[in-house]
Amino acid sequence: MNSEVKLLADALFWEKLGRARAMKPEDRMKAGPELFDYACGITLTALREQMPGASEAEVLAALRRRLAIKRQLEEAAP
Amino acid sequence: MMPAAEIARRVIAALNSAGIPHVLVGAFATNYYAEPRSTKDADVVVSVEAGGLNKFLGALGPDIRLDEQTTFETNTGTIKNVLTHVESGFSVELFFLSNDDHDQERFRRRHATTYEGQSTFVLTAEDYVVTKLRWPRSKDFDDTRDVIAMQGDGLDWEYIHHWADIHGSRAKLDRIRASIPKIS
Repeated sequence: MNSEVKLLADALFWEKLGRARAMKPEDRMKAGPELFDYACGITLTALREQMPGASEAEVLAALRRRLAIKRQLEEAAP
Repeated sequence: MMPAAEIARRVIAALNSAGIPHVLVGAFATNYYAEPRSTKDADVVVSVEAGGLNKFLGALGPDIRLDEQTTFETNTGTIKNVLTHVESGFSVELFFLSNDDHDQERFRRRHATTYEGQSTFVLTAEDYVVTKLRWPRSKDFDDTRDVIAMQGDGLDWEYIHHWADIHGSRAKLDRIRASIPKIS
């Protein structure tokens, strides 16, 4: 990594932590599942577009399959 | 779809209702001490025999199901069961408190807090670091770095070094600390 990119990456690291420090620990903990819901909302929108005619139950089942695959990948990660 | 935060709150409420001592670990603890990130599950260590969950499960309701299959966690020698919210797929992994010396110690030292109005507990920052050092995944390296950087000089390094020496993870700890960017 060249020195300019390293400086930028380091600055972003501390900026990220600075934003986190501005929150209460309890609020940071609550943000985890809220971010999950937000991400699921985006995925569900994409799935509805990819599965025209599918019922909401079928779309939710597709979301659960994706989550299961993600879990398997994480458990197998080095 | 039921919000994941509400599923986690119900699980904590059911643990309290059943009188099961517990502590939040994993991503919930990461978020408590560092930058919040999305999590699709909650990890909880519970002090109860595997067969003693009936009252807790009864308080949960039928939309959160227990996978009857018990799995063995090889890194820390603990046993776990997985609860899954049927509709959303959000899961809660229940780790049973083991006889491992650090598992016992971190449970004894757990930090009281609240989650969505429910009394609960989270690992101390020091025990979070000691625990993460025992895991080999690259994401654990990054999580530990973030918590150390975020908590700064507030950590009890004597305590962390004590356990890192016992677990043989001191060199890894030193690598993580060296990887924290300098403040420019």
